[in-house]
Amino acid sequence: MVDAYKADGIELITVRADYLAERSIPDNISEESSENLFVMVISYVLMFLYVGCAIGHLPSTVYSKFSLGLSGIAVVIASVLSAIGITFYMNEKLTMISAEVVPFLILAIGVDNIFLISRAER
Amino acid sequence: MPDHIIEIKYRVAFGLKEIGPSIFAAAFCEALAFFIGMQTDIPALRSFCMVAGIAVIMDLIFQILIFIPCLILDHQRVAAKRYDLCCCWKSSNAPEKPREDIVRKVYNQYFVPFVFRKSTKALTLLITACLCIIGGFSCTKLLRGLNQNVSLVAGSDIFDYFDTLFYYGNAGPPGYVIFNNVNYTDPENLEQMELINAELAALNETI
Repeated sequence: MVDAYKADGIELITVRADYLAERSIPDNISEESSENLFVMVISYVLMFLYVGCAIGHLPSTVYSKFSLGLSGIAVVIASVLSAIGITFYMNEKLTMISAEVVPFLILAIGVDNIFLISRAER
Repeated sequence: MPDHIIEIKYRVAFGLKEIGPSIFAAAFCEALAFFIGMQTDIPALRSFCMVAGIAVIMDLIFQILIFIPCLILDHQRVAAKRYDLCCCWKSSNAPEKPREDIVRKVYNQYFVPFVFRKSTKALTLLITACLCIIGGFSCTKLLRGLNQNVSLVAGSDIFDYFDTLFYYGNAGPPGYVIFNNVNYTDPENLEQMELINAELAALNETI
């Protein structure tokens, strides 16, 4: 179609259309969550690897502590989930800001405590 | 850690006596800061502070109730010489003591001497001073703003829409006039609505 117009020597004006539909916002929210989920999973996996490397003796099958690191990360995930659950019981609406920022925040705080506690018995 | 405490649970208990208060104080202060932040009038911020504060408290509770038992279980696993991550199998030829850790070895061999060199210290001071000065000056040039786009995925339909609206439609978002309970079959009503429309259109020029 466009090529046919061009062949006839008719100038085409570039028109830019931006649109907002009623379902645009729910669409955007779901896209945002799925995109954010990927980043979150990556950061949790990286943090797991870092904790596992840092608290154990690395080149060893028995003395490395990846399973302890895994339990530490599981604790962080559990605390985020339970916090979201408790706010749900308090009839507070969960906003995008808290759902996206809190997991990273608690990951940072929780990993800090994992190091402290695992050092305690040395 | 005194050497006469051998059993692992007493060793952990002794360690917790040392670090427990500081962990508790840190979590308490963090949660308190978030709960004080709940006093703001912005609903999104209030809900964020609430979730974050509760999450900090839950994190402390779970760390005491779940992570420390896991620590002791992990020690029992090491004592029984079972493999890490697949603890159903026993290792038959594990050494009694762990070898020196590779991370710590590299750290002690290269990083610590590097940090304690005089030139590194001077460089660190210089970089810190530069960052402070740059940060202080750029504080005054900070732009304040919160448009809708900060919470959207860059490049999505709705992002482009708001972007275009912001740059080309300087008048801001469109306005709406909503009529309630109008009998559209009555021609007089339609006339009235037309009149209101025309008057609003005239307003556009003065604004």
